[in-house]
Amino acid sequence: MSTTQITAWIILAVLVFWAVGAYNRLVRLRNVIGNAFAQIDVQLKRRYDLIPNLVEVARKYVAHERDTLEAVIAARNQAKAAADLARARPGSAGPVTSLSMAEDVLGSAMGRLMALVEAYPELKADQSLRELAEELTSTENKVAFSRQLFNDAAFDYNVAAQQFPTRLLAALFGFREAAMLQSTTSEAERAPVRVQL
Amino acid sequence: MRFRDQQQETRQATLRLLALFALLLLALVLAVNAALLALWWGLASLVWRGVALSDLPPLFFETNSAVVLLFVLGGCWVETARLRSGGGAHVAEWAGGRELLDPRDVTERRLLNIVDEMTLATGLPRPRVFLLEHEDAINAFAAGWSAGESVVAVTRGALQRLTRDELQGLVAHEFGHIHNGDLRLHMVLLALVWGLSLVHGYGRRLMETDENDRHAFPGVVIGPVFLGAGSLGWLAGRVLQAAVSRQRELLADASAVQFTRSRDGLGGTLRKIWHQVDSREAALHRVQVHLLAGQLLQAPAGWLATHPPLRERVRRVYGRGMLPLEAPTLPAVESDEPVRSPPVTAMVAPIAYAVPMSATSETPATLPQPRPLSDDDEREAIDRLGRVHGPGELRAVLLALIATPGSQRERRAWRDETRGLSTADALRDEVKKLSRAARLPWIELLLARIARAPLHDRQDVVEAARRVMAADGQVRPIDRLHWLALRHRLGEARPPSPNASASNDLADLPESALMQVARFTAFLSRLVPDGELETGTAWYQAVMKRWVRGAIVPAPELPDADEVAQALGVVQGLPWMLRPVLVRAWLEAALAASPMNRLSDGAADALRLAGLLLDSPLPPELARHYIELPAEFSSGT
Repeated sequence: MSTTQITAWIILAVLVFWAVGAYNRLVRLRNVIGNAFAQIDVQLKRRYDLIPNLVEVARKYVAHERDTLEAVIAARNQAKAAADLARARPGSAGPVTSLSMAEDVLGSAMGRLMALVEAYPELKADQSLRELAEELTSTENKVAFSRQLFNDAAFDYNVAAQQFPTRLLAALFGFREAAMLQSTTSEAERAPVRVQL
Repeated sequence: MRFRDQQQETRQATLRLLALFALLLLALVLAVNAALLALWWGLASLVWRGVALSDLPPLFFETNSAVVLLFVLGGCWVETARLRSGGGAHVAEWAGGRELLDPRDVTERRLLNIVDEMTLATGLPRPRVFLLEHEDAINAFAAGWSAGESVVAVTRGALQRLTRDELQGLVAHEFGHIHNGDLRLHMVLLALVWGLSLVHGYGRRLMETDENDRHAFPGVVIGPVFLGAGSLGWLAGRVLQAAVSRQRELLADASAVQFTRSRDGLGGTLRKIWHQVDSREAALHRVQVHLLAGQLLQAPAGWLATHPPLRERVRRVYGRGMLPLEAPTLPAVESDEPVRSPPVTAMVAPIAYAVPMSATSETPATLPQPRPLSDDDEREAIDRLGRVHGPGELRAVLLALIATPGSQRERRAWRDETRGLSTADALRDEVKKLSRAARLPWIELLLARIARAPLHDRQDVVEAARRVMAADGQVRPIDRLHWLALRHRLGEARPPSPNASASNDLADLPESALMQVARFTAFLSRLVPDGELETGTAWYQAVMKRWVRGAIVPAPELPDADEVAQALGVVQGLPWMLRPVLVRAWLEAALAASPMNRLSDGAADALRLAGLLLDSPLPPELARHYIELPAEFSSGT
């Protein structure tokens, strides 16, 4: 084998090693995005499950405030239905818009419920209410952090897939650019419901 | 975004400091070579005329460099392996932490939730979570070699005095350390500094005299070179290490802001810690004296601080100066307390009785027992005593356990105290059947149960104990320890001193505190290792030599009752990281002074009681001197 041939083989080997490494890195980054998205979904579901429990506890103390309680339940059902629709038809604009509107309504209903809790000391001191409120806060935070993680991961992935040599590989194997989660509504709406007791 | 700039800045600063470390090593090698060359040159010119470099012994520079590098890098390697084998969970347990697996109340649940949130925010593996139950100061630490095996420990004070957002900031800061790989960096640098100190130690060894009190020739000349260069290198290493540590704290702060996307959380935490530290220092009028290298050099305290000043950290987080924030216990937390506040001792128990029954069943052979008893007899007694209930019976058993065996007068006093209790004598017979190894665990168990009674009843028990113990006209040292333990567990809960401290070394304590440690140790030396004055003094010297650097260990003076109580107060006020270290030191020195690593009964009891007084977990070497009690007893009421 001539020197040229050996050089060619070495270059080829280096190329293959690089390609395998870069490919694996892209796959890993893409999986992180997927995980983050799954987390958002899980936490949103959990949030929809927690709200009725919270309402049930509140009902024990303030059954007469039926309007507020029913409004929360109705808003929660609306939001859950919208979320299911959005999940079933990903990418289409309609369900996403109705989801964000339903979330809006749910947010303000929850705000009224929390104001109610503040007004009734014995309700506020209820052990299970406190536990549920803590879980709800944590879930809201987890949603926020998963969104953040999702965006960070999408950012890292996009940067990796767009830099020069890797870009060729990404195009070859069809690594498409990942979309970032964007807030379609106001800053205030994106902020999680404050459940501070 | 500002936090990204700050992260960039601190990362670069770390790199510069690490480069300085490499330069330091190079400078050390050069300095040793240069000094030895000058020395050789001087000596050789005395002997020969016209000395030239070519006359140098073969491999002169190579040997010198190799010796230095071998010590520093080899030492670093060995020490890293040692630190690494410790493991994060071990550290947390050693600090008196309880792993949070099954939260007991909302605040604990909240901590676990926050850790889960941070796990999500950082994408790191979830660390194990520990709670430092007895710590009122706001603090936390992360430990572990890698992100996969890391632990995060948070104090009870942080749980009670921080809002949810602030607690999140605190946890995020620790996640920042894990995320940035600070734990590993810290351990390697610590090991490197240790390696640097070996060069200094080598110099000292060379200068030592042999058994005829003569100096070996080359050693006495070369020694000072290694000693001098070694101490300078070690000092520079410590300063650099502290500088790196400060940068990593700032980096972790910036990371915490990145993870939480909020500066109020961490900012509030820092301001509250600041307030605690300030008020504590004002209370103690503490004079910071760092004993360093035998008082060779009094470095400005800031150079060796491992954390940047809180004022500066707060300023960086907020982008402007802020004032400290008072940190009262939050009302939301307090309302929980009466509902379920588990007695302090119940939490120590799982750690304390870590030795299974089977492992100890062979040990009583070497333990002198009050009388020959079959195992069955004792087990029956334990069983019966386990069913004891009611305040009167608990009190009778406790008093019977602490009374001096064989003293008629104390028995009479015990009768007086238990008058009216029909089962008193039967209980006393059962107590007599207990072997020595089971007595102290029983006392602790009873204390845990009685601790649930109202304060008035508890004080009554403490008073009764005093009467029984003083009935024979003398209070022996072990009696005093018993009584102090009773008072500690049953007396009024004193507000724990908020002892936030960056120092992890007893040698860094102010002299007055170290004096009280010495005093309490001197008191213990009446019982440890065997109650003899001579061996007790030797034990005391061995313990205190660890911390009194460059000075002569003060002679043990046996303190009187008030002095003991006062010294104990100071020792109990030590930072939580230091108390187990102290117990460990007592135990190690005692084991070294005992034949076959087996403590005398008196010493084991004294050390166990001292550990109880310091709220320190029971070391396994001590635990194997005792019989574990069946777990179901500790939950009974």
